[in-house]
Amino acid sequence: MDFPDDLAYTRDHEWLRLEGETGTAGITDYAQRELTDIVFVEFVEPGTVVRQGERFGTVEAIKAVSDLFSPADGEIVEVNAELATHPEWINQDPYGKGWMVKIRVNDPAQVHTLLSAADYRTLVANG
Amino acid sequence: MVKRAPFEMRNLVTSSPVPLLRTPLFNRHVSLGARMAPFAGFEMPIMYRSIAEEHNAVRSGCGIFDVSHMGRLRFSGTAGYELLERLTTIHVASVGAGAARYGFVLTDSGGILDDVILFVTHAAEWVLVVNAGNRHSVVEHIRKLELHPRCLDDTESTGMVAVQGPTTRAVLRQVMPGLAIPERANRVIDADWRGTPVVISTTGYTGEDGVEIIAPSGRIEALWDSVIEAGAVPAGLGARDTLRLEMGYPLHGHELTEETDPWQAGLGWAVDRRNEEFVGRSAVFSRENDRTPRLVALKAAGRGIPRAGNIVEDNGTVVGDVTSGTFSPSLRQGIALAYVDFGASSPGKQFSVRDRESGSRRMTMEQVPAPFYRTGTRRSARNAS
Repeated sequence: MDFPDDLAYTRDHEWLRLEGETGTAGITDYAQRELTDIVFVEFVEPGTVVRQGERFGTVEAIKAVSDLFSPADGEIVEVNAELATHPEWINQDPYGKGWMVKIRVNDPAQVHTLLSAADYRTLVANG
Repeated sequence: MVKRAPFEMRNLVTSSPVPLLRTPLFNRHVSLGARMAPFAGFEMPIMYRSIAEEHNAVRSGCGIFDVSHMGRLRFSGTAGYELLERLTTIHVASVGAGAARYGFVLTDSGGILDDVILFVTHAAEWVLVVNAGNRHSVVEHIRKLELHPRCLDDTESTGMVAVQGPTTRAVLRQVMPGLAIPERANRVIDADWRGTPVVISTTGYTGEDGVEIIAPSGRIEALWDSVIEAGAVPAGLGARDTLRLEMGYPLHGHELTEETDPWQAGLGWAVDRRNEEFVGRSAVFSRENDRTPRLVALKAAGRGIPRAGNIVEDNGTVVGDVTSGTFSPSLRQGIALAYVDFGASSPGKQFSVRDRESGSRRMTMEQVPAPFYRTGTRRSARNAS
């Protein structure tokens, strides 16, 4: 499984790519494999303010439904609208075309509360 | 990401400390990279690569399922016949050699202990296929009848595969050249495959043309390999569930339980009035006109996927429960089977379906006639799961 080193990870299997004050978030390669066959995704409206760990959406696969939790405090400024017609991109390219939301983060330093790729890899390996 | 509804096989996923059983195809599943999970006491393949891909392979080509976990009980002789008439709602006398028939094992009070299919292989020998999770309760039920017939539990000495899909016959022509497979559904033949006796039935649980094959457990791997080499795609229990649900077929533990009766499930046709001997007969007929909840088929009007355990509402009043729900890969829509209060359902009616706990997931669903999927190559076949 692929866990890029330049991303930060939550224990709930989301990733965050921070560029300045804007973070892009999605679910990890591990998460998409666990879900498989993703068929619907739904996000809160852009403009919604979320806290770290708060729900920003729901992803549905054929056999499972999961809530999505924000990796940081901030405002959802954009959602990936193309996933409405191409939910399979989350399975095919979870860190690229399968990105989910952009968050204007309140405090970029909050990224240090998340897991590194190495730590996340350990978390997944230990089930 | 926290999964709220894991692979849902309510009542059947075992978490007991009892060691899980393995089918004779276990090593094949592992080497194919299957995702394995406990199911009715067995460690079974849920999917190999993708439920959707495996589902579509069965709808458009040919898939092969390991169904060795299902119980196979063999009966013979007059005592076997008498026992089956007591045990099942099938009128055994009217099922001739070479036929398969669907029916129920009922409790004393007329509830559904199991749904079963009876194969008549040749004169005076029967194979009763029961659900994996109910094998022990059916065997216990037989013991209580104290009829002492010759009943052999072949479940572990044999394996069973389901080969399903519109190209099944072409696939089997390569595996078993020259073998005449009956055109009609619910027929059973005894055959010889490379020196091995096998039982082949034109039965299934997918709505497509296909067969189920029982072979000695030592030969089932070779059979599995041959069918895959001839073009069948390995398919797991995940696809088996989406396929059966698209057909509106019930699954014991979901639509059928000891608390529900055949009338509620719309399966009264499988209670044969000509059989005057079966356990639960007077109780089940006394329930025929009860105003109990009825099983209905619901289709999502928009996006949203119903899940087992969801609640069905009619104008804010709770009127029912979803017993099975999934995304239908063929229809690209959410579909469900649900029990709805007597009198609260009608064709075309719209219901609101939501999570039991939170109101966050809510969808509009319309009552539709089953099956959901109407272009399968075999719509009439019914089978035990």
